[in-house]
Amino acid sequence: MNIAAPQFMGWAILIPLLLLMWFLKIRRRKSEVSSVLLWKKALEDQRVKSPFQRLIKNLLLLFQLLCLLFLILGLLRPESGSLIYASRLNVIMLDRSASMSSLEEDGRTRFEIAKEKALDRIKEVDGERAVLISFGENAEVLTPVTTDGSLLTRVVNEVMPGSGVTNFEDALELALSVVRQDELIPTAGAGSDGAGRSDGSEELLSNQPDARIFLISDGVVPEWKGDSIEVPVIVDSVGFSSSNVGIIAFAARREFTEEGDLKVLLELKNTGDDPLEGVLRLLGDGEVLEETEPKILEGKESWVLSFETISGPSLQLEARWIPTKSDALALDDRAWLVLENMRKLRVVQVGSPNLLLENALLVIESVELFQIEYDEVDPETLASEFDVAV
Amino acid sequence: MSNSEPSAAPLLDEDFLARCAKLVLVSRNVLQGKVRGEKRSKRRGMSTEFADHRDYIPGDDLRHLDWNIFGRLEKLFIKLFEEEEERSVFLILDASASMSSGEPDKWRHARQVTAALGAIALSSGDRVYLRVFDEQLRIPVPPLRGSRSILKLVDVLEKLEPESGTSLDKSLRAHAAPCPAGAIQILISDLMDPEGVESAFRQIPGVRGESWLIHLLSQSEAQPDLQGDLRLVDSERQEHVDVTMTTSVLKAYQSALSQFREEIRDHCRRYKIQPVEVSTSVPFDQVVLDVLRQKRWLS
Repeated sequence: MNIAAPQFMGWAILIPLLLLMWFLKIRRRKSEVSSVLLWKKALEDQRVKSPFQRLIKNLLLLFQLLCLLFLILGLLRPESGSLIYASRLNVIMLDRSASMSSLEEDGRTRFEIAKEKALDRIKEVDGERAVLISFGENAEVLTPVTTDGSLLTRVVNEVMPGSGVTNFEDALELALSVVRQDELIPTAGAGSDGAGRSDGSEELLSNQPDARIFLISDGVVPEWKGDSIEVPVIVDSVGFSSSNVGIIAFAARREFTEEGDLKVLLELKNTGDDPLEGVLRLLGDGEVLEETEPKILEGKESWVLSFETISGPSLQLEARWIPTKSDALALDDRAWLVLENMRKLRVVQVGSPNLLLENALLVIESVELFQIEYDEVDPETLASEFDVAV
Repeated sequence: MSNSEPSAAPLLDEDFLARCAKLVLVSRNVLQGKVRGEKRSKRRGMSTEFADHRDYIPGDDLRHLDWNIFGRLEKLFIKLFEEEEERSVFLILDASASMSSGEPDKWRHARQVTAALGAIALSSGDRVYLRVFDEQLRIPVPPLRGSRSILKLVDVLEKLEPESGTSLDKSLRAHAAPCPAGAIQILISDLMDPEGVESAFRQIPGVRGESWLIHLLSQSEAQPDLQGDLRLVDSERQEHVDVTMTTSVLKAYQSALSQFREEIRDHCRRYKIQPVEVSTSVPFDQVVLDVLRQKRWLS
């Protein structure tokens, strides 16, 4: 049951007052008895056996009490249809994006600190309703709306850090939809007068649900471009370290050049504010293929580099940023690529055969030679079918 | 004589006194009075009632020699007679304020029973000690003896007024110290003592003679006829209880009263005191002539 007007709860003080007045009102007739010894004992037994006997006997008092009770209940405007007592809704949002795995100076990850903050918030809202949402690239509601602090605590303890970037928009949309769909949320004011008119402030009050959102993240919440947020959003920031170099792009292509058979492209970026020094190492199936000289990346600086190397039959390529000192997030210091098997170069000779050329090409192991006539050439498909046309 | 008689009327009338003269208190234990009285003692001694013979021992009073046997058998025998001893009867009357309340009048009823027992004892030659107590023991009159003292006893009782509180234990301790063994002790009280009765009863154990208890309650105490919202004021102490009379409250009172009476009976059994529960709704003469005779206190 929901109480629409809890401010009238104070009227309940009238009940003990009424009882007090009744007790004061009773005018007792004096009667002398030889001794009150037995009466005291009798009343003691009586009180133990039926403390409300006296009230039951006094129907008028009972009637007055019931009237008062109904009056107070009427003022409180109880509403049915709810499952639990409607209290403020607290939406606790926990960032589990990849950056939350960054190490802080105390040796803990940001995610561990964020979980601790979430647990603190759960304790803080004890007795109120709460719901837990985790977000990264995708947002997910982890618990139903509940007053069960132990459930929330357990789920927070079970959440694992994720990967990917932080999608604040989706996460906030989800949180707001939870708030808007919750029918139990009481409003902060009456909203309009009896005639249905309302001024701006009243309307604002009436439309403002009693809820709040706790956003626990290491990122900067971007400017919100959606509908107006009608509940307070309290941001709990985690993470202070800003020194991190990560591999943000990694690509490779087998290409036959004078320098080798593989061309590799890499991009690294220092997302923090402080400069960081390190080397980049390229490995093929665990063997070191290339390694750069030590390089200092200033804050926010990007570093694009490419390699042309001989990978041979290697299938797994790994790029590894090795900082001179550890950076905040080790997760983005390594990247992997799986290469396709080496295939032979498709060379086509158009027109009449040329033995000299043919023999020269066949000497190369990685060349597969084809012969077609001029009238068989389809310029549109030629480039996709063959690597080289002679 | 009935309960409706005015309080100014004498406690005992002449007709009742005449009927008392034919009664005697029956004690089952040995009498050990200091002077010869009119009660047959289990001890053999000097009186007119022949009991037995025994051999003559030098020094015996030759006036009690049975000369007839000596004449026939030439043997010396001393005639023994049942010794008649004077008995001590202690009438211990509760004169606390609680005895003055209740309907019918508990105080007058208690004094009438006391006067009747005293008259019976005096008319049968017992020595009567009147003791009254409230918070302490008082001796309103010296020991009485002989039928002529009956009027004095009645007169003293008529002039007594109940005082304030009750201290049963303290009063009976004061009584027990000089009380001789073998005496009949009759306690007349409502026993409304907040400190309880067990310790007091220990002072008058039946093994030292005869201990009788007349537990007197008024009709209004036994069957209270109260209604409405009342403030019950204690007649002895500055105490009161507020109570709204309901059937359940009256039931609880009856339960408390039954428990109280049962406790009294238990203590009496322990200390060999013979109890009689008396209500003021029963006229005192009926109590004396019927109830006490049925209890074989009187014959």
